[in-house]
Amino acid sequence: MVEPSLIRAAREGDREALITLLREIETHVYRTAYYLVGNEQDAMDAAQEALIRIYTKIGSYEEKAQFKTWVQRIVTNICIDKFRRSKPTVSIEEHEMVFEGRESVEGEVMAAYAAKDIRDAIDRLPEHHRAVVVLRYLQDFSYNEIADSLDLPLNTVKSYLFRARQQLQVLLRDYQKGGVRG
Amino acid sequence: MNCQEVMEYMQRELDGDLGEIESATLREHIRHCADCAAMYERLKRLSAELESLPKVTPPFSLVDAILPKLDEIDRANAAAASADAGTAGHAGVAGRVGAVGQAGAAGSAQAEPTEATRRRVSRFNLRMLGGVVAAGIVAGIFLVTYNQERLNDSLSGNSAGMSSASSASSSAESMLMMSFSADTADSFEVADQHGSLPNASMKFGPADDGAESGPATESTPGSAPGPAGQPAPADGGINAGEDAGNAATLTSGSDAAGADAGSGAGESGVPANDLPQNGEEAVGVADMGEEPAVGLGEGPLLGIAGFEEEPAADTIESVSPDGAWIAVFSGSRLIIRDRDGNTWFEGEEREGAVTALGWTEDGAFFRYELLLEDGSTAVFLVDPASGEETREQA
Repeated sequence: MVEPSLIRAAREGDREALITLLREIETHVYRTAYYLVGNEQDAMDAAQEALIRIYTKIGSYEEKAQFKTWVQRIVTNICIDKFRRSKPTVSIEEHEMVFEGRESVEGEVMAAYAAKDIRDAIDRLPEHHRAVVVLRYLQDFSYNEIADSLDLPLNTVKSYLFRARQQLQVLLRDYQKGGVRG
Repeated sequence: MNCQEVMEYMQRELDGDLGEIESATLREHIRHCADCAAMYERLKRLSAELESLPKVTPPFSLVDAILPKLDEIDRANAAAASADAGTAGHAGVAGRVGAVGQAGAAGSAQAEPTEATRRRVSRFNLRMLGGVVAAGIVAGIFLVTYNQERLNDSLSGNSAGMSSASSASSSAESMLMMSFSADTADSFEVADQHGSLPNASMKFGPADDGAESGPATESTPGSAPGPAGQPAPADGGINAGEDAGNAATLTSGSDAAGADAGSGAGESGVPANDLPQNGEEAVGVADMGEEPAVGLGEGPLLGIAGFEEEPAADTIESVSPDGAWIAVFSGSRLIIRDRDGNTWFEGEEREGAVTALGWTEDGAFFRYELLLEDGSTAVFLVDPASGEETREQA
């Protein structure tokens, strides 16, 4: 991860250090944005906005927080606030929450899910569920780091992640069966 | 252990969150429960797929792409500080002559090599703070004397003066609120760095500006607050001046409004875009000098609008499919408003985390699920039109 000394120099007003710092994190910022907003153009816009905000706000970063969670907090907030799409997300409703183990595994195609299907399914998750999944799988964050980034209680993070996976699993199974639910 | 409980174990196992004993319990259950075994297989596969999602990278360097913007931000901060110098001079005594004179100083300041730009920016912010506060005092003094005059004029108990004073204080209150809702980190930063009381900054601001602009202009910085009462209203800047004055005077104990005003003017970038690069500094800054009211009035507002802190992530919003309703969770408390912002439903505060929410397809009902403290879940259905909430059977 990023050198603490680089972060400190950037905080203390070393512009070169700050630019170097931005270069080191730009891919992480973009990756989160890409999976949150779902397309390259909006992801570029959101990631650039996040980097600019980091540039102007570096002075307000406090070292007691992890730098990477601070960065991810900025980019997820931008994605959720400004690039909120009108696209309907699935509502994670009660009937989908019941245990779905009843269906037999037999007859199910066990082929890998198409990557596009997974991305589509992620896209259909409610925003905060999506954010939790992205931080867990694209940033390799722990429960605690996700909680810090999203300013959510730890239990909520777990609950979002577990439900998101259940939901994804249901959606993907439906894709495989050829039926796409509205 | 039932299948539902095992489900949580499976999930935690995927995240490497299970201890040895728990893992053994999970394996034991799965060995005897075909349903759970199948579910676990699916979840493991899903998790593996998620782990191997493409690690996308931007098609070109984002930092390179934003470098011009970053330069612009630095320039905007520097220019806003220069603009402030012009404003202070203008609000002081010198008027246009002063502004033009200041422009020279500001121009030469800009022509300096820009190493350590960021340090300068923070210095500028202080100076700007000082300038804005000074302008505020100026306007405040004007306001006070103005009110006194009104009061004197209406000695016979006419309430004009009083109402004027009370409207002033009410607008001051709103300024105060705004300053609290703004980014406190910035305020703290200013306070930390300079550790000075607002009073000190007030003195420091104009004095500093004066030192730079002194040789180039006729203005007498030391006397700025005194005669300043006249130019401010003369420019028709009464309202803007009032706001700034209230912000500065009423929050003088806390520094917050001053700092916000400073960063607002500095970071909004509005003046910067108007500032020509070379050759025309005098005209450019003089132009800004003519509009101190605009700069001051908008400073705090822009500062807040442009740099509002990211809203707390536990605020969740959901708009109904037809756009008629907006459901907002603040924590676990639900409020539903119509598109005009009227509140139709206000839920009770419950202990629990919102785990699912959504509108029915016709947009008539809002359903949400709470994970309660005891681990159980509760589902609620809200009809915003009637303001009724019913708890569904889980």
